[in-house]
Formats: sequence, C-alpha cells, structure tokens
Amino acid sequence: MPLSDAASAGPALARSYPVKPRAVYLMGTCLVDSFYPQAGMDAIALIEREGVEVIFPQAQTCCGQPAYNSGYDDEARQVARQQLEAFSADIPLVVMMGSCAAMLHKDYPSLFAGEPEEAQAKALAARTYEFSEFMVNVLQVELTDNSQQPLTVALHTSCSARRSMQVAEQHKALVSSLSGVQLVEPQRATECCGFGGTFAVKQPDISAAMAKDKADNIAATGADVITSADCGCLMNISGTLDKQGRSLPVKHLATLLWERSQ
Amino acid sequence: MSSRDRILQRLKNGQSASRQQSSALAFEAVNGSLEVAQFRREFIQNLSDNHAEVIPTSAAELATNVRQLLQDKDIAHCLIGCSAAADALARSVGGLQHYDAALENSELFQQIDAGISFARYGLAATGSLVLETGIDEPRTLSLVPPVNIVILNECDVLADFNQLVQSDDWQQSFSRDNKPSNMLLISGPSKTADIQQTLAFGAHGPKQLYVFLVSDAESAVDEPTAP
Amino acid sequence: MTQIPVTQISAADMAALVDREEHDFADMQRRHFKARAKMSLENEALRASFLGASNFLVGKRKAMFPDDAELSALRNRGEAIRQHTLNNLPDLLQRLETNLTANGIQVHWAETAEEACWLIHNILQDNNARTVVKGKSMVSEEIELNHYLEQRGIECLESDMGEYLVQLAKETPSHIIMQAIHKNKEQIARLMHSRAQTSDGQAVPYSEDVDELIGNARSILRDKFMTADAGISGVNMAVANTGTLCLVENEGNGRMTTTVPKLHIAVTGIEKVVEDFSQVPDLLTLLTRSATGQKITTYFNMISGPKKPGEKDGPEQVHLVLLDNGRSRIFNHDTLKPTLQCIRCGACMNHCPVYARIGGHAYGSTYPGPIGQVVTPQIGGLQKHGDMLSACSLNGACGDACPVRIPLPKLIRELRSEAVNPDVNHLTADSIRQVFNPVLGRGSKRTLGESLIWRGWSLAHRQPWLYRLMTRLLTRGRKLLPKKLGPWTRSRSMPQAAARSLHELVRDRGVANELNSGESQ
Repeated sequence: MPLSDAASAGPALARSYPVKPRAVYLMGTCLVDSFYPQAGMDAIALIEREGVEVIFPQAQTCCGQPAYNSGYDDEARQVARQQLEAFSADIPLVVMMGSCAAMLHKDYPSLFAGEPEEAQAKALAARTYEFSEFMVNVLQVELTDNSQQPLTVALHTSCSARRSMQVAEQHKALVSSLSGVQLVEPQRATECCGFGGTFAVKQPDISAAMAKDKADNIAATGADVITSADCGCLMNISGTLDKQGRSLPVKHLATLLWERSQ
Repeated sequence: MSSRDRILQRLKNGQSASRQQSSALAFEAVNGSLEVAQFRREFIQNLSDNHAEVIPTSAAELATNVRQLLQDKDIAHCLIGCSAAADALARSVGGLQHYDAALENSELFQQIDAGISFARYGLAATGSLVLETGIDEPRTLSLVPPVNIVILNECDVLADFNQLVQSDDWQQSFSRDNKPSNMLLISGPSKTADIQQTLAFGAHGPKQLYVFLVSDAESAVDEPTAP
Repeated sequence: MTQIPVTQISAADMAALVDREEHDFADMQRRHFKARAKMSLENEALRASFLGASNFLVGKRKAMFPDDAELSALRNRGEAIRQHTLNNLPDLLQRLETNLTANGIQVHWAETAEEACWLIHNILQDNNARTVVKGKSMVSEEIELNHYLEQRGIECLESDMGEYLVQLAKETPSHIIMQAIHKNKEQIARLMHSRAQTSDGQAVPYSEDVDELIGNARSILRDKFMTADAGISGVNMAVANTGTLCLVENEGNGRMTTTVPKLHIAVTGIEKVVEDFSQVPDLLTLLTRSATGQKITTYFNMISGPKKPGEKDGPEQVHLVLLDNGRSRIFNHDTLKPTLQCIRCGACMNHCPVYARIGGHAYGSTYPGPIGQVVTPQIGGLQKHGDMLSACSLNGACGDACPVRIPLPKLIRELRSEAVNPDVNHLTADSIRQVFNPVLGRGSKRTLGESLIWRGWSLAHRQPWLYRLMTRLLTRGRKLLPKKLGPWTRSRSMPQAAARSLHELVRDRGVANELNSGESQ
C-alpha cells in the first residue's frame, strides 16, 4: 500500500499528527538498549536523514510497563516519573517499541491520575509516537530501496502496535515501500505470539504453546528474515525457533529500513 | 431492611459520587439500509437460509395451498387458532382442529402433527415472523407440534426489528395496561450447533417451518386483536 | 484420546470411558489454576476441540460484521445503551419491578447466591413442585442452583442441548454459550449411549450421527417438558418501561421451559436491565452476531406476564429473582464498573488465544475466558480466584471483540493491581466509597518475594546512573549469562545481550542529550 494511504488508514483512531518537527526525543526502550541497540542507531540515522535532530536523554531508563502490568502501580509510577523528567521539553517523543509507546500514550494519563504530575503525563502522552507511526504519519518518509538483493520478509506486528497504537498498516506500508522486498504475513497474523512480558514468566506453559504456534506459522512463510517493531516479540519468536533448531535472522523494523535504503 | 432495600441502597450510594451523563447514542438506533423494494426478497432469502420454506401465494389460493401442503406432508391432525382469519381459513381448508380450549399435554405433545399460526408482521432484515400470542393464538401452537405453518401478509413485512419497535402499533401495544403476555420473533425451525458446532435442525421447537406469504391480502394489523 | 470404532468397544467399556472423563474433570477441578491449565494444554483432544471451536466462532462473527463502519457504530450504540443502564441502575430496577408486578409477574430480590437458591426453593415448595426443567441460565450455574435443589429432593433437568450433555457428564459448562464445546462427537455419542435414559428407563442406541443424537435428546426432553411442575430460565434483557423479560435461543427449549409448566421462575443478574424497547433491537443484533455469528436466533421470546383469562396456555405464575451476588460491589468501583456492561455473548473467550489453548474448565469457575477473569475474582474474591489473572498476555483481542466495548485488558490489569495492593487503608476523598467496597481479597496475592523484586527493579530504573551501571554489567558480562534461565529457556534459547548498550552507542555518536534552549518546534 502506498505510504500516503497508510497515513490516513485506521478506522477508529483518527489521531491528528503534527507537521515535521525540528527535533524529537528518541526513547530506545530498555529491551532495545541491551539487546537491539543497533535498531536505535538505525532509527536515529533514518530520522536525521530527514533533517530532524534526535535528542537521546541519557537519563531515560524504562517506561515502567513491567511493574504496571504486574499491578505494582507505585513502583511503575516511580520509574515513570523519571521518564517524565527525561523527556520534559515540548517536542515529539518517538518510541522504538509498540508496547512502550502504548504505555506512555495510553496508560500514563491513568497512571498519574490524581497525582501532581497528571498534567505533565497527559502532555507527554499526547506527543508520544510509535516509531513507524512517526515515520509514516509525521515525516511522511519516502524510502528508496538501494539494495541489489531481493528479500522475503515476514512481518510480525505486536498486539500493542496493532490494537493499542493501531499502527499495523504503517508497519506494512513501510516494509512494502521497499521495492526489492517481498512482504509476507504469517497465518493467524493477528494472534498474540505469547510474549506478554511477565506472562511468559508467570504462565510459561501457555506462553510456550502460543509461541510455538506463532513460530510454526512464521517459519511456514518461507521468509528469509523476520521483522517487527517490538523486541519482546522478536526475542520470543527467534528464541523459540532457535531452540527448535530452525533459526531465522531477525531485524528490528528500523534496521531493515536503514539497511535497505542506505 | 430487606434484601431489596439493601441492594438498592448500595446502588444509590454508588451512583451519587460517579453519576455520568448518558450518551445520546443510548436512544439513537443504528438504522439499516434496506429499501422497501428489497423487503420481500430479503425476507424470503433470510428465512430460507435458516431452513424455513417460504411459499408465496395469493389470498384466493391460500386455502388450496394449505390443504395441499397438509396432504403432501401427511399431516393428519392440524391445530389452528381462533382469530377471524383463522376461522375463515379453517372453513375453507376443512379438517382442522380449533385450539379453542386448553389441551391436555399428552394430546398436545403426542397427537398433534402441525399447528397453523398467523403472524402480524415480518421483518425482512432477519427473516423473522412476529407473532403476538394471546386468546386467538396460543403460545404452544407455534411451539409444540413438530410442524409450524405460518400465514403472513406480504404487505405486513417491515424492514427490521428497529422499525417494528418504532411503530405506533408496537408502542401502543406496550403502553396500555393489557400488554401482549408473550410476543415472539420466530426466524426458522428450531436448531442447535452444540455438537461439535455441527448444525442440526429440529431441536425442541418445531422441526419444520412453512411460511405462506400472501401477496394481495389486506394488512393483518387492521384486524383487531382480542383485548 | 484416539477414536475407537464402535464395533470394537463394548457398552461396559464405553461407560468406563465416560466415567473416566467425569473423574478427570472432578480431579482437575480440585487443583489450582496452573495445574489445570497444564492438564488442558497436555490434553490433545481437548485442545483440538477448543481450537476448532475458536476458529469456527471467530470466523462466524467476522462474516456477520463485514462493514467496519457499521460494526463501530453498533458497538458505540451497545456501549451507550449499557452505560445508560448503569448510570440509572437503581431507578431502572425499581421501574422494572413496578411494571413487572403490574403485569402479574412476581419480583424477588436476592443479595447472595444462597439467598437466591432459598427463594427459588421456597417458590417451588409453595407450589408443590418436585420436577423442574431448566432453560439455559449461566446465573443459575453461578448460584449452583441444581445442586441446591437436588439436595432437597427436587429433580432438576437441563434442557438446552449443551447443558443437558454437561449435566449427564456431571461436569460444568466450559463456555457460556456453547456449554459442551469441549466434547467432540465421539465423546458425546458415548455419553448419550451410556447415560441418557428415556422416560421409560430405556438406554439410547449408540450413534455418532448428529441428527440422531439431537433427535434422541429431543424425545427424552419432550417428555420432561410435558410433565415438569416448573420451568426455570434465565433472562437476556429485562425491559424496565414495559415490564418485559426477553430471552434469546435457537433450540426452543427456552420457550418450552417458560410456556408449558404451570410455574415459571426466571433468574437474572441486576445488571441485565435496559430502559425501553428502542434499545432492544441493536443490542440483540450485537448479541447474536457476536455470540454465534447469526443475524438473529431462531426465537426471541418476550414475556410480559403469565396466562391471561381466556388464554389457552402459558404459565399460571411467573416469578423473577433479581440477583446481586457481588454486582452492587462491582458497581461501586469506578474503574471496574464496566464489568457490568457485559451481555454474556462469549465473543471475548472466542477471541482469546489463552482460552483457545486451555479451554473453559481450566478457569475453574462459571465464567471462563476474559470476562471470567474479570467477574470471577470480583464475585468470589481474589484469594480464591486471583491466580487466573496472570493467564493473560494483555494482547487485547478480547477488548476489540467486545460488542459493548468493555475494556477487558484494562480491567484485568486493574484486578492485578488490586490483588497486590499493599494499602487497604489508603484514603483519598474520591476513594472513600472504594475503601468500604474494595475488591474482595484486595492485596491477598501480594508476596514478599515479588514485592521485593519490583522494589529492586524500581530502584535500578529510577536512578539513571544505576540503570546505566546495570546495563554495562549486562552487556560486558553477556558471555557469562547462564544458558538456562528459569521457565524462559525451557522452550526458547537464551537471548544474547549486545556488546554495548544504546546509551553508550549514542554517546559515541555524539547525539544530543537534551534540547538546546532556544530551539523550538
């Protein structure tokens, strides 16, 4: 689908987007930080190429979701406060993972309801964008595929990206815009991969059953590479495939886009 | 304080602090897009999809067609209600038993092969028959016999349930003191998919539903129902 | 369990298989949630049943809502109708009572499950009713009515096909709409042959043919409808302005139950009321399309009174029991109140990937799946039912499927928070009501171990220098990480940390740490 169509896709959430800003914050997210840092670097390269300055506050740590989803609201708030401070200037915040973007955009307002930081949290939520959403709807990026090699890519969109941030079309649009890339989606594409953060640890048997089905469906696409904008899902799917002895390379969406369009 | 009082008190306490304004949508129907010209076709299609058999007929031919159906299906004992229309039809068809007094369950369940009912309205969007049960149309007439035959005038087919509840007739029926004690929407023969999602017809209600759609009769709605 | 051809198995062996399933069920129900889930995951036949049913029902619903805009409009309406009910609940209930009474329907109120059973038993006793035939009612399962009545010598036979099968198997429903969804055809065939009996005590011949199976059940139940002293049913919607009870069904047993016996008792939760008939059609279409992918069910039965003078049939008495059983408590919790918007369609569990894999019995409660995870701990308490809350990846498929827009994932998360809440005495102006109406068992799942983990996590993540130290250790020490790490690595390889963190890489690249003053949008 052309990127311009994706920019207006999504029936329910008619979010209004700002014009291209001079500068943005980047939140790497804690998983990108330790496990997929290159994705963050590639995102920065992509954004800077469009003439936008990227600010990466060293004071950022984690959005607070692990504690929040476990019901430990006080602890989640303590960590979330740190992010309110780190991203305090009134510029857009681009987040490298769908689940973290949703935490900030959807849950920070209720997390801080009745707290002194309520207004600040709402303001930050309003200017938080998931990575692909920012690329398509704000930057309206046009990517040229400069790679010589054709590539089949299996796209996995996380549940947070799909349902909370509603950016599944943007993911598809970005991958499809690369002319040498064939996009394939697995069977039961909208079904959860079983990661669910602490779910994988608290209900490992159920999580493993879901992960196995997702891994089977993705392997069955015959793709060369798996891409997603959520590291939790990537770790879950690739880890499962790996353990089964049928590894597939994984790339964060930002890495795929940067590598192909250099 | 009774249970009732305690329950209501708790609810009232809960309400006072967080009472919200209801959305206007609570009273705005999502209207369908069916055009009048499509009613008949839609009605027949939906009923047929649900395994009912719809037999278009005319007022003049109704009795003949009913008699023919009873013969074809080997229906010996057929029950019919007591409205003026029912009386007229019974006279023309012959051999029908009027449901004009309470029946012993053993007779109703074991000796009756079919029941003939009269619908007040049809709903096109869902293929539904609207039956107002009462003195002339007993509830069990369209429930217990294994075959249910329903007479409906085509001019009484409405778009959908929304149109029905918005109608003056419905509003009046339900605002007077003497409300219809059992109003029914019937949209096919009885069925179930409880065994491995496999659809089977003839669960506990009638196994077969035949609908005679009478094209040139006057509206049944003009006929006064028993008070 | 592999399919065993009929000719190779004797009636005695068949009965043994059926008994074994009953035993397995009872055994499973004695265990805790995780064990039940594991047993279900390991039962291949069960998983196949649930996955097959899930796929079927998801597909049917999707086919019924081809137009996104229409679906969205209907869901908005559904949400508005249900929220309107909740905004006016006490008034609507009083109006319902007044109008039902004027119509000749007797209204009773029950605070607890036990009280509801007691009230119903009294009504039966007052009318010398010894045999009851039941229409489908999840509320009657919730209050365990059958058990209560049977203990007091009243025969209580389920008439809905799925409920009838579940009753024969001495189990409980595993789904709120298709109660026997966990059984395949062969299991049902064995069950009918081994345990079903006609009214003259004959066994039913063995058959795997669905039409025959249904036909046999029809004969058996027809006799019961004919002779039962009373019929007990649920209610899908109660219309306050007209005093009308509305019931939805395909089989006809609901109409039988509410029409043939002299006495009809309906039981429902206090949240099932709507204001007037103008709200019924859209709610009905949402219900039938979401539940079983039908434009409408075979019957929509609207009852506004018992038999009138001159009428030939119909019950002589109609009663309604309004059940609270924790609902007024839910009503008082601002965040959890949307729980009561539920119209019991089952779409959430049909779309839940966890339910599709563990099935309904693993939840160990009347209501399974996402709505079960929200309702059950609130009715039965977090101590007993809090464990099921972790069986959710917060993927959101349930919330997306809900016809009345209940934010199920949000409610599940909120209950997790209630379960580990340390502070029952936290008093702020808005929460005084909540202090006296906390979720039952608030804080009962809080453990020292887990709270320390999160305290430690918070400490590490709210001090940037500590966080960066931690990631430095993780990245530098990545080769030293164990290959096995608890449950994660049972089915996955250990992820490898990067050599250097993003924090470090951006610093090397010279990316700005903060916005220069003077820069603007």
